[in-house]
Amino acid sequence: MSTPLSPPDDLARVADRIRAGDRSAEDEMVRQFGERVQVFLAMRTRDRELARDLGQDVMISVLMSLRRGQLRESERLGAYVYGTARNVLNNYLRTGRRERLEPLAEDLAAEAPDQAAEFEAGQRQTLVRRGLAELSRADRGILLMTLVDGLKPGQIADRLGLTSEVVRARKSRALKRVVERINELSRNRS
Amino acid sequence: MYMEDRAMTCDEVVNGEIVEKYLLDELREETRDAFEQHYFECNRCFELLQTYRAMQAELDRTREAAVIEIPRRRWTWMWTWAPAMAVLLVAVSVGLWLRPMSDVPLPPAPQPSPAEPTRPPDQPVTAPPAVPPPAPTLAELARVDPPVYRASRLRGADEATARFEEAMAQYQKRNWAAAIPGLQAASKSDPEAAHALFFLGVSHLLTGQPRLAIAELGRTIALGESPYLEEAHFYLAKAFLQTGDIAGATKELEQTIALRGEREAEARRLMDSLARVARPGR
Repeated sequence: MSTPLSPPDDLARVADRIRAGDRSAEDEMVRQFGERVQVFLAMRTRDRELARDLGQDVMISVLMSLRRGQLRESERLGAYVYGTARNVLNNYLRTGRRERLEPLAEDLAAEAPDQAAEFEAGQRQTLVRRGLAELSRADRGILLMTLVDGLKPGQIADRLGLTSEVVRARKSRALKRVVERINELSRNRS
Repeated sequence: MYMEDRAMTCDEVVNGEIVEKYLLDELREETRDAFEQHYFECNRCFELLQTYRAMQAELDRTREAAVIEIPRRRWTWMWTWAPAMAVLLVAVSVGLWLRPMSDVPLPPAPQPSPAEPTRPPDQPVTAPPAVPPPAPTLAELARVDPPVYRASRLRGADEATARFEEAMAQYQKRNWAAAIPGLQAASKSDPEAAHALFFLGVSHLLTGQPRLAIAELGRTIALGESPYLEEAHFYLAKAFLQTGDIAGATKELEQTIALRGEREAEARRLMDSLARVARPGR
């Protein structure tokens, strides 16, 4: 459902093409890593707006480096993007403000990847809804207490009058069932 | 378990419940960084993270619908109804006490029916002989239906996962024997991969090697909590049955039932059938 990353050799070629000035390769890079960068920043900052702003800074920084040919191991493009995202975030956390990056001539904020990501997120949410609907209410309750309320199996067990082993087993099975069901549904769709 | 001096693998993500802990911000800093670096290069684990995030959002959105049906304690209803029951009990007792004894008719003395032959009073009544359904044989109970495996074909997996998925392609073709070498290789590369051990044990069972199955399923269980724990107990019971070890099978079925999962009903039925095999005629 997410845009799958190309194999390392293909990513290396994308990096080489960017260094050679191929603008379509830049779009490709943003399409492949944009969602990962957004997720990383949203998880760390818990602020979607800030994550979006910082995400643009990350992409601009990566593209500028790639244009200058600063990536040494081009097949490790993913690790490089992650390292850049960490640096941008750490700078922001340390100083409380975004870095002033020179804007790129072309607008890389690229509305298209955002729209594509939103469409994919909507599709995923539909599949997740269907997967969760197939669980018993009790199992959905266990997942709610685990993934949303952050309760430990022992705490859930106390609330439900079960043993913590039973809660662990039911949680683990419920997660497995939902993930397998989503994989199955998404394979059928494709 | 993830060791912090090297890159994280997909199996470590799954077995260490890393995604769940990441969502809840419960990872140590080094482990969190290793996981983030991993999902920047791995499609499978990034997809898993996105699925968990979507699940978290959906569960939160539909919180009202997830009312728990399991009773908190078995006897809580007693406290709700106890006052009403006490009042009722007192009223009935007082009513009976006030009622004149002469109004209570005596029950008629039992009379033997004309058709019923008389018998000495100390002789027990014998019911007409019922014909019990034939007890299943041990071989029938030991029969195994293979557990279903649903593959997730995504790129970016590590070598152990790649070997596992190759082996499971054979498994899905019901080629159990051909699946075994790949599963052995996968579980050797990652001894804590419960999925590889579980399907290795099942493949041994399906190829008529119950003792090897007992070893691998036992190792799966020894890993502790995993998505395969309940099924490992169930199939271990089947493996014991194939060796004629009814006590071992019973113990594993009890463990399956205790986990209160999808195999509970099947395990209970098997326990009942086993009791009939152990005590024929009952």
